[in-house]
Amino acid sequence: MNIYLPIAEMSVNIFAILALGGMTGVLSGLFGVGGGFLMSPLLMFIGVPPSVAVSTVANQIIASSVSGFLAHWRRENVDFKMGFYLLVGGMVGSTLGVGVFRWLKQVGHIDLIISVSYVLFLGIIGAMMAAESIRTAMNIPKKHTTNTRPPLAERLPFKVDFPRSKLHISQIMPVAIGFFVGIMVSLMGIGGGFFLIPAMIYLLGMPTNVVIGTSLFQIIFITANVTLLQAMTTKTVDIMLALLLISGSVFGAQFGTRLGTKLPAEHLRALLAALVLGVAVKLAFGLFTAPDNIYSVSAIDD
Amino acid sequence: MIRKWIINGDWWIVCLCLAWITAFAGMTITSPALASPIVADLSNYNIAMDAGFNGTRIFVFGTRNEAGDVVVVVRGENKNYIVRKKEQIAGMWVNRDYMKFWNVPNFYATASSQKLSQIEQTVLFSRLGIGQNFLIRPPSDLNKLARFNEFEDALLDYQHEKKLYAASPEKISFMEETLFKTNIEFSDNIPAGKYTAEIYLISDGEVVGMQSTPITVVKSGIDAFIYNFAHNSPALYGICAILLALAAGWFASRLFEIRS
Repeated sequence: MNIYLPIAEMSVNIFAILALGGMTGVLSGLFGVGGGFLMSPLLMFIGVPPSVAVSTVANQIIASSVSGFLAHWRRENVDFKMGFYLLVGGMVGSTLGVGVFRWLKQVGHIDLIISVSYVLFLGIIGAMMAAESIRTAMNIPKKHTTNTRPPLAERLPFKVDFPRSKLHISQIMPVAIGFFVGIMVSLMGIGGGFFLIPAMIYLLGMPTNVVIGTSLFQIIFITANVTLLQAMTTKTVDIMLALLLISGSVFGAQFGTRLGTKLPAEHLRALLAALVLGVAVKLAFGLFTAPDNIYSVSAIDD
Repeated sequence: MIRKWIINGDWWIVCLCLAWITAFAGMTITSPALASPIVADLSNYNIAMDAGFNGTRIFVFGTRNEAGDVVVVVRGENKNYIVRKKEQIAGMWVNRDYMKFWNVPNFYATASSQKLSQIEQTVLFSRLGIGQNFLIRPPSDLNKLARFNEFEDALLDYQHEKKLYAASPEKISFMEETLFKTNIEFSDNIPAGKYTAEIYLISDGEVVGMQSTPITVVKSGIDAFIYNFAHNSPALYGICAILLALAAGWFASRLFEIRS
């Protein structure tokens, strides 16, 4: 059964889109990542224009994040104070990012920058997580280098208490991380969870149980900001497509959250690492292999 | 036999036949000098694209009252395009060279009574923009021609791939040498806008008859509403998109909370 998407200006199979949404939802609930890093490329693959895919996925991530966030909130796994600091940086970063996105689109390098960013960040984070998983699996104890020298977040000034995370760290650190993630959200059409979660664990030293809830909390606001800005500037948010993706993803998210409580944390991390590395390798291949068509065409607006 | 038809309730067929006969009689009786060389009409002047839109076709039919070739051209609105070419830099494929094209139709389809190449009226076709090779004016500087052709081909390939330009012209079929009909295909991804259908009668390198009919392609139903909403009040549309997503997420969460 086909349905016409008014902003993407194309017909798509309704069940394919629902399945895509469901898959992303499972990832979202399981890992706390938005799943956008899989969703955006897959939508482009079925022919949705990249700009529409990126903006609409931002809209969809709001819904899956809200439903995931509420599930974590009920278990009190959210550090709101930390979330607020991340948000301050995130709002500034995402607003700046939408501007950069427009500029890159005009000069024709947006696809390249998206791919390179994906390969770099997914590659680094995936490798870090994989190394951690292998270390845990093989029972190699962590080197205690951190004991001799406190992490950056503790050495910087303007320290505050984060009671929920049991931390006393600098305000600069979460704001800076939020800013960086904000830029990536708007540039890559993702929730940013796949970067935010490792950053919260390794750079801020937050306990693993509050990381997912807190990350979902701030993703809601960042993706809402990106949705609004894209709707106003590039007019590429497709509500029809978003609703279909949402229908699939909200159910998937609940399923994923439940699955997440049953699976041991080490297994979760290993799974996510494999997924992240897989996408990075796939995209890296795309950068270096000759494209089917070396010419690309786009309409000039205005 | 006619009586039998009438009794069977097929009287309208008789009426239709009578109307046809009258029309034809009228056409032949009136002075041929006054009749247009070509008279054509479309089965449809409006295409409404709703959520279930899966492409459509429009029949073009009419009569030619003089000898000559019939050529039908349907074009969409003129748009500007940029074509970019990737080159390998440090192993990576990066967009480098580009060319911009102005006023190129975003939809193009033709039908002709014989192959356009066989009609062989290149100057005329170039002037009227008949045939895909004549849609974009080549540069006057011949040194730039090779590069122009390369990028022009890329643009045409792109339009073909998206099925916005028909791969080959449709055939026009004739009945009794004067009545003709053909159909123009519209794929599911055609852009909304004002299209024109031009029907030419060409004889000895001259246009002896021409008729132009507009076709309106609109988005209809909920789609049109969403499209217009997104373009006319973008801020409100963005807020609605956010609220809808928030509500959907909250609703799903409540649904599962009750169940568990």
